[in-house]
This record gives sequence, C-alpha cells and structure tokens, in this order.
Amino acid sequence: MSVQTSPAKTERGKKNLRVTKTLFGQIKEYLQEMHAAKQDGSKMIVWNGGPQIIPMEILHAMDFLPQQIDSMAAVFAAKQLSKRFIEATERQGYSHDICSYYKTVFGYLLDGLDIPEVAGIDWPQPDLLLGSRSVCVLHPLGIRMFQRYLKIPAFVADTPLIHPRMDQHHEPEKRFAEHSTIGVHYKHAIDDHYLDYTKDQIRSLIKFLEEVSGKKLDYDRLREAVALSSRASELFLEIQDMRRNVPCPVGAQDIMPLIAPSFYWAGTQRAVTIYEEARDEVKENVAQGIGAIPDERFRLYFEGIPPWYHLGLFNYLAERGAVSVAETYPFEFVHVMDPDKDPLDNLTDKALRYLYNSPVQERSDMVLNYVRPYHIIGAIAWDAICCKIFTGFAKLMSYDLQKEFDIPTLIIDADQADPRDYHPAMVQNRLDAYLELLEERMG
Amino acid sequence: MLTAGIDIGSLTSKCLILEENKTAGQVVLPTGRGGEATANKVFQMALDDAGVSSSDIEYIIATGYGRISISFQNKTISEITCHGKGVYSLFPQARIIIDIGGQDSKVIRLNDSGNIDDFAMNDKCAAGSGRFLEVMAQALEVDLPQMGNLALLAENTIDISNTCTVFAESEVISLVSRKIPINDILAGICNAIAERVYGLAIRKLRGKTTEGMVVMSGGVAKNAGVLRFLEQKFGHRIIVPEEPQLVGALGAALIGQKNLRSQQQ
Repeated sequence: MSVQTSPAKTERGKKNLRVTKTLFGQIKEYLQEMHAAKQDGSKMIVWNGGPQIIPMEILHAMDFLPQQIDSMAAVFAAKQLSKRFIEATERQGYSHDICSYYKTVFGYLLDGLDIPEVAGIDWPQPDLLLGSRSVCVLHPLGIRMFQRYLKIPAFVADTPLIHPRMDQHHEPEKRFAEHSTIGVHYKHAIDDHYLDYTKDQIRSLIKFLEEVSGKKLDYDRLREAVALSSRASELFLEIQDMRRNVPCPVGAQDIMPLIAPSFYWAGTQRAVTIYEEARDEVKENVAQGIGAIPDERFRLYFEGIPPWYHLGLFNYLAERGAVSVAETYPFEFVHVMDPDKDPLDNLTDKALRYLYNSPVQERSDMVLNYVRPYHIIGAIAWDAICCKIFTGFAKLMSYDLQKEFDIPTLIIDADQADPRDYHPAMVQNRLDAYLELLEERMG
Repeated sequence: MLTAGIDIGSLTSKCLILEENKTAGQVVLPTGRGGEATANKVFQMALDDAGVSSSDIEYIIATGYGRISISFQNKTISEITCHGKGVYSLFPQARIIIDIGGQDSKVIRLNDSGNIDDFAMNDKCAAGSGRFLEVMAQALEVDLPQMGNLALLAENTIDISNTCTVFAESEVISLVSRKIPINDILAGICNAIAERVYGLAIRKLRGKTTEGMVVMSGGVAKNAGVLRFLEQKFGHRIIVPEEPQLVGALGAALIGQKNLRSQQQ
C-alpha cells in the first residue's frame, strides 16, 4: 500500500493574478525547449546552484539553457514529489538536517527520472554544473555531490561575504536611518579589492563557459541581457511598491510564484514581458481598489522561503483577513543596474550586494524599513532548520521588530520543501493564536 | 448567565461552567482518542457537576488542539488566548504565564490590560512537555503524580538531556543500570524540563520578574519538582492556581461571557 501525503498538508495557494495562473505553463514550455535542445544538441543544459554570483544573464547571453537547483526543488515540492526524492537521497546516507532543496533534486536524479509523476516537470539532466560559495557553505559541496554522480564538468565560484567593515567608511550608527531597501540590498561603498576579486571570479566563469561550449561571449549580447535583467528588476520593484496600497493589491500567493522569472530568466525578454503583465494587472487592481484578499485586516511581513508543498498556508491566512504585503525572499535576485556601466562591473556589483550575502543587520534593517510604508502590524518567519541563512536570521529580525516597533513575530519551525517537517495542527494552532493576539492589539 | 469553556488537550480534556463570576461545575478527564465523543462526555459531566442541562448554557467556547472537533461550540479560540484570560482573571498582577501541557509548553506574556502581548511555544520535540514526564514515569515505574515529590527528596540532580524524549529515555535507562538513585534521576528529569521551558521564557521576558508576576498553568504545574526547579531559575516563587489544568477552560468560559454580553447589547 502506498503512503499518501496527508491532505491537511498540501493545498495550493489561490492565485489572483491572471499572469501567475499562466506561469507554470511558461515553465513547462521552457522545459520543452530544454528537452528539444538535449535531443538535437543545439544548446547545453546548465544546472545553476549559485545564481547569486553565477549570473543567469551570462548564461542566457551565451545561449545556454540554465535552470536553478532551488527552483527545481520548489516545483517538485509543489507537485508533492519532494518527500519521495528527499527520502531517496537520505537512503544514500545524507543527513535529515541538510538542505531539503538539494536533497530533493539529487533524489530526482536517483529515483525520479523515469517515473510517470514527473510528466511535465521532467527536467533533463544537465551538461554542466555551476555553483558558488556565496550564501551557503553547502551549495558548493552540493554541486560536487552532483558532479560526482553525473560525471560532468562543474565550476564553483567564490564570493567574499560582506561584513560591516567591507567599506572602511562604514558608519554603523547610520543603520536603519540610512536604510537599505529591497532592490539595492547593500548601499554602502565596497572596497576595490573585493570588487576586483569577484570580477575575476566572473571572468574565470566566462573562460570556463567558453571552453566547454566552444563559443565566445558576445559582450553586446551581455550588455543587452544586463539591461533586460535590470528592467525586469525595476518592474518587479514597481509591483512591490504598489503593495503599500490599502488594500494590498497582490499577496504572497502571487508574489512567491512570480519569483520564477527573476530566477530562471534574468537577462531575457521573457522575464520583462511577464513582469510587465503582472505590473499592469496590479496597477489595475490598485486603480479599482481591489485587494488580494476580500477582507483585509492584518497586514503582515513574511520572512523566509514558503512551504512550496503547501502554499495553501496563505489561503488559511486570507480566510482570516491576513495578507502578506512584503517579503524579501522573492526579491533575492532583483537588482537594478546602471546601463552606462561595464556589464561585468554591473554583475560584480549584483553578486556582492546580493541580499543574503549582506550582513544580517542590513537584512534586518530592510525588514524594518518595510513596516511604516507598508502599514505592517505583524510578522511571520518560516524558520527552516535545514536552511542556515534563514534559521539564524529570524531571531534577530524578531528582536529588532519588537524593539523598534513593538511588533511580535511568529516564528514557525517548518521546512520549505520537506513536508515531513511540517505539522499542520501545530502550525494552525500558532497561526490562530498569533492572529488572535493581533486582533486584541488592534482593539 | 451560564457559559462553558471546553478545552480538549492531547492528554486531558477539561470543561468549566461559569455562572457570572463563580465556577458552577468543572471536570478533568483523560482525552483518550478524543474527538466529539470526548467533548460530549466532558461537557455532560460538567453539566452534571453544575446541576444544569445543556439548554441552560448560553455560550460555549472550545479551545485546545481538539477544538475543531467540537460541533456544538459557538466559537473556537486558541488556548494561548484562553490561558491568558483565565490566569489574568485569577491573578491580575500576572505578566508571564508558563503553561506546560501534555504535548507542548508555552510562555505567554500579558500586558497591563491582561491581553496577550507575545507568546512562544516549544519547538517540535516533546521534551518540554507533559508527555516527556509520562514517558519517564513509565520507564522508571513511578507513579506520575508522585514524580515531583520524589524528585524533591533527591540528594543530587543528575544532568539529563532535554533535546529528545526518546533519547532521554535511553539515557535514563542507562542511569538506572548504573545504580544511580531513582530520586536523583527524577530530579534530573524535572530539571531538564524546567531548563527547557525557562529557555523559552527568557526570550519573552522584559526585564527581571518578581514574585507574583509569574504563574504556571497546565497539568505539569502539579509536579512539585518541575515547579521547584523553575522557581530556582526565576529566583522567586511562582504562583500555581488551585486547578492549574482548568485555567484554559476558565478563560474560554470568560470569553464566552464577554461575547454573550456583546451580542446582547
């Protein structure tokens, strides 16, 4: 008898925007493109485990077909396949406590390639692997794990982590007052030796890509890709800006899936077109006073990676009048760039100023800077124990929110891709209590 | 005006019937399988205790993990809110509530108006809950209600892991085979749970607490050993209501009264 995932754990988020409802269709089209390329050898499939410093812009400009490892895992989780794949990986001896994203995709290679359940999301095996040390120490190890298994070329880049003394002129007392905001994640100056080192890493990446593909990078195409990526970022930020409106015109149910263009297609017209459509729809909602949820009472900040296997979490909140009006995760790869700058300088800047490469205090400041303009009264942090980037940050953020605004944070201990680490009764109980608390505070 | 609060927890189910500001009837019984049958049973027993019938009850609030299984409630409210209301009605000076129930532990901070200001609950593991004590009592063949009193007789407090109930049980069994006195092991168990819950509480404190500010509720409040270790960590006496398991049901019944008055206005 097969083991069924409990229905209480798995519900899709109710999307409101037309463009979000068609997004998965576009992902499937891209997948078909990859299969066709795999068949005729016209383009190389790349699995990118480090888009923070391995720019998708370069990959698209060089006609690779890149896919991001985290995104694949999110799709498998949404299709209720991640548990099976994670278990396949753990049977090889991998720990329960390491990244569920990487375990999901590795498990797909072990146990998912030919199963009927992956129809429509059967990502072809890559020809190349790329990764970076930015963000998380597991990522480069994960890439090597994939490389050993697939026996294909791999490149891992290094990025210096930004610490508060990256700029000798950094003035700590200006934090929060001199705010960092989504889209320009780390505003302070960065000394030249960090920039030179990182740019050198990107040059090494280009050299590697040119060697494996036999094609040279066309810098004009790269310039164009950078411009398109920047334009897509501007559009996504425009959407975020409109969420200040009351009622909020678009909630996390739509924003989370809308991560896809900036993850998969940064540097392409496709991403720009999708965000243009989304922006126009959201603008229409604002003009007509249409909110993401019918009876908006609680405006929340949502921290962390959502449970992709159960985006119905946001439906549960919506039924109770709660909407997430701001997050930072969807804007991970959003970065507005200067068209007059050299594209490699732009991408170097993007890599170093990357959200999760920044000091945690900067990240916390970004959250604090959402509170007043977005009329936020509460915060939920989805604290995945396997993801050190988030699990370490939630407490600092909750402390700062309490100190600056007397806003309590609900920290929920559950995973983003592993439904075994999600306990519906526990989560529901905490959500109910938290919303009751907010209700009382509102008087 | 008669209202009822029904609290269906993982280990015990409680019902309290309130008549104005007096408790008219109350019951605590094991939940067993739970569900509507348990809710009906505990409600009926409380009605019998109060000498009234179900048609006399004007408002019912259901709380606890099992609250959604109760079809005859007027409203469901989380036990955090209910415990807050219940404790504040008994001890208006209380600002921190430590509730250790069958399967979770909670720390609730109240503001000066008796509303919930913030709360924290234990992480996934059962090691900070009544279930932990139940498992240990079984492993040591000790009567659960006597655990705390025996722990107070210990000469030493053995250090026992509080990360995982199952691992802690293995640890306890190995201590027994090393002929460590049972009372010392019991003291270690009580301290382990107290330490875990104190760690939770620290996150929610705003400055030092003093006697009268901290109240303990839930079944584990009856464990004198856990209470003593918690008091040592806080540095002062902790208040325990006469019926610590009924605080949630009391709070639920009080909310029922408030809702009823609002409806009648």
